[in-house]
Amino acid sequence: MDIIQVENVSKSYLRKDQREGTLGGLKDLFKPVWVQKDAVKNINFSIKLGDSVGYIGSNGSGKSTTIKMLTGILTPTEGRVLVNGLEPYKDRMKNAKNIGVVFGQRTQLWWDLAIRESFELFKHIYRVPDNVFKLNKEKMIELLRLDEFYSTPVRQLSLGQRMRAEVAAAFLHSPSIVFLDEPTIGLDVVAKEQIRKFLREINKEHKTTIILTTHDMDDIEQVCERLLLINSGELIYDGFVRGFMDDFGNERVITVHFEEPIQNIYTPFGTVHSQAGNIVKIIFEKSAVSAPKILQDLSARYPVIDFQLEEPKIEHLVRQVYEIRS
Amino acid sequence: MSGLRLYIRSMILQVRSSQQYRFNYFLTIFTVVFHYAVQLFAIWLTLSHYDNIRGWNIYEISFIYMFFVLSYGIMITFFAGFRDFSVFVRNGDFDILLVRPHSTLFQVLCGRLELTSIAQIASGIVLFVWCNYHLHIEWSLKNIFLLIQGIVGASIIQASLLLFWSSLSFWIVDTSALVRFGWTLNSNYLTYPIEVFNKTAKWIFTVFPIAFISYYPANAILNKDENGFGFIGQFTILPSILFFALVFLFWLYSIRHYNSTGN
Amino acid sequence: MREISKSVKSNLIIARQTFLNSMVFRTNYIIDIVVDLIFVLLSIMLWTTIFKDNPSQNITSLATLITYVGLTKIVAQIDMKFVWDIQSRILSGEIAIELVRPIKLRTYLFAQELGRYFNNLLIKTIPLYVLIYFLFGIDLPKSFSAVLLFILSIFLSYILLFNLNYITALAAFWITKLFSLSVFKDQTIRLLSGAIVPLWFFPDWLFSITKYLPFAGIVFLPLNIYLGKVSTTETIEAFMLQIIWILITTFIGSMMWKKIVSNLAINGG
Repeated sequence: MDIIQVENVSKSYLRKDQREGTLGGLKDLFKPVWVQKDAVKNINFSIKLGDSVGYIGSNGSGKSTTIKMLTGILTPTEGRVLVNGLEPYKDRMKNAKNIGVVFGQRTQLWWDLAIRESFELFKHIYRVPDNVFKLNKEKMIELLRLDEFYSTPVRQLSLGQRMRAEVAAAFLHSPSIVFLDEPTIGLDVVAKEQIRKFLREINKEHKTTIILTTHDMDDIEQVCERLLLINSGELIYDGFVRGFMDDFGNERVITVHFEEPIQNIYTPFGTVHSQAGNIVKIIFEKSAVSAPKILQDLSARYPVIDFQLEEPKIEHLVRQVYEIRS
Repeated sequence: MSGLRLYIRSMILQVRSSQQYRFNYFLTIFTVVFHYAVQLFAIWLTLSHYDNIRGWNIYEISFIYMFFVLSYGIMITFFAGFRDFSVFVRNGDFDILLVRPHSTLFQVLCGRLELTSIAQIASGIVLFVWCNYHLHIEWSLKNIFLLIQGIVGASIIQASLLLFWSSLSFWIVDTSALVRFGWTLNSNYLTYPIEVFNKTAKWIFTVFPIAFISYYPANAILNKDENGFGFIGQFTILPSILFFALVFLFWLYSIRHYNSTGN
Repeated sequence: MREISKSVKSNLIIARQTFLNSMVFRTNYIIDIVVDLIFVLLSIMLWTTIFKDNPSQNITSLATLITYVGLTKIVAQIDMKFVWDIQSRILSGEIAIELVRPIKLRTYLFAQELGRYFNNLLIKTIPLYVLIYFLFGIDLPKSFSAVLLFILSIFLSYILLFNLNYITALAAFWITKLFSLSVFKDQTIRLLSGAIVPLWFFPDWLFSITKYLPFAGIVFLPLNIYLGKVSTTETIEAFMLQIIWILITTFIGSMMWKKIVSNLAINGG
């Protein structure tokens, strides 16, 4: 059953164009020129109850605009969005009862209050029955280990602790869908792991639909089953994470620092992408060989000092999808 | 009713978290009182040189001023969330409100309780007692009614004005200058009898009903009015409710505009 | 000295670029100008009415009063932005960078603020003056020497205001939130400088005190010079007094700064 339907949705803005120089500035003042910006162009997709969906795109791709239309913040210029049978921008408050949102960059918790008190407030905002709230609250505390700092004011928490609390807060009212906008940004590896694990479990046990936007491919890999890729306002991929990773997410780049510049550097496990002095970038396929193996091979023959493993960049993957499609 | 419970809960939490900033709290109160004291002292200086302004003496003008201070204190206690609204929108915090199952206006009201308003309210009361002592106002039933109506109406207009500037935040980026403008206008200029201004100005301040904050209610009680126009001060509540209704509609319209154009 | 002029110039360029390239900035600019004009208009209306109602109690001519009221806003630019910059930098800890610079903090702030002042002069103050002249018919200065002395007076009062603001900014090292102190400073200066009520209307006892305070030189003195109501002797005396106050406030400022630096050395900030 489709819990979210996006039908021929487009979103355009009119923005004032800024002209240069003093004369341009004056012209802007009295005779502004309006430019149409198409943020989202005729996208279509649907999401079923219990899906875990990754929604990725580079900055300015129309990703946040889509999420804002799904959550009722923006109204589509054309087309229709249905969430739980409602159009979120038309029945805003009714829709809000059934959804949870996590904004990675902004906090929904009260800065001077302990998490305990913020949660209590959420209970009243969403009118959660006492027994349901107690159950959910305890589950959240357990799964995300919030008891360590449950009574600490939010302003004294580390980013990782705060994000765990933010994510928990979104689920307190048992929403059927939770939107998470860059929840792992700026977090250390441990905190990321905790949140990913939590989202997996909640999705599996409670069938809560999860929509996750992120720049981190590992988030997608570990949490989501489905993947939507948006670029320049167009949906260029709608499929499963498994398949995508097999097709596009396989490449990794390892940057190796040698003691001195190496001539004709070579490894059977990957291809040299670029070389600058004693720093070499090598592309390899994650499914075929592991990073340690390449390093082992290289250090057996060359003097290796240091290395860095890069995660696949969204832009890189997007470019690949484009190349395949055209 | 659950809305009311939610509101009260929010207020209680505000009080609790503000207790952490006690020193600043008292300092702010002192600052507010000082600000008004300087203002009134300046008026007193003017009136110690010139005997009266349009026939109004120091006590009568202070009586006008009292309406401004008291109504502002009452209003800002509940509407403080709207004071820095354009920053709120610019930061993206308003979007969070749209994702919750309550009206945005209600949520902004829940978001902040201004406890330092005791400064304005106490100042207003002190002013009232001082003026009343020197003016020997007869507190007939009518005058009592005019006083209450004046304060209530003034508070509503002050709230509407703040809501108006907040609505503009969805159209232009920085309305904090406008908020300051509105406050300075009401505090420094409209606390004089509007006869000091020309006809056009009088009309503007009556139709855009900010003269109903201080001047008209004061005039209705003191009956200082020669040209007979001041009788409209007896009905302060009408323009205040009408103004609020119009501004509220503009608020809703502005949010719809925000839904179309985003941040 | 070269450092200062370089800093002033670069700040001027930054300010100009911001003005030309920022629409938000330009909207605010228009709002500021319109708001200032509205307040000048209302002030002139107010004082004209008072003047006409009480012919026997007038000390000056109507034209003089109108000119005074019309120019007050332009002359009385009391609050300076750097005070708030310092406050936020202390709160965020970024102030540490400022303290490691090879240039003295005070000199750096002075140059920065001067750049802003000149930019403001060009895009706001002078256009505003022209508008006020044409809209409200204020008087022009009586003589060329009045213009020169006026400019000198503004220059001296700027330095004095900078000192007062500098002292306020330094207070942030102790009291972090400057809002209260700032309101106290602004209101006191505005009242005693003649920005709210011209000093002509002050009762004798108050005027005799205010005469010796540093504030009268900020608004009342320059405007009276502009209006040609001060004799040469009086002007020189007033300038002497201002210079004394400038020296006093400079001294207070540097004492505070020494205290701050020694505290930081001990406590590590």
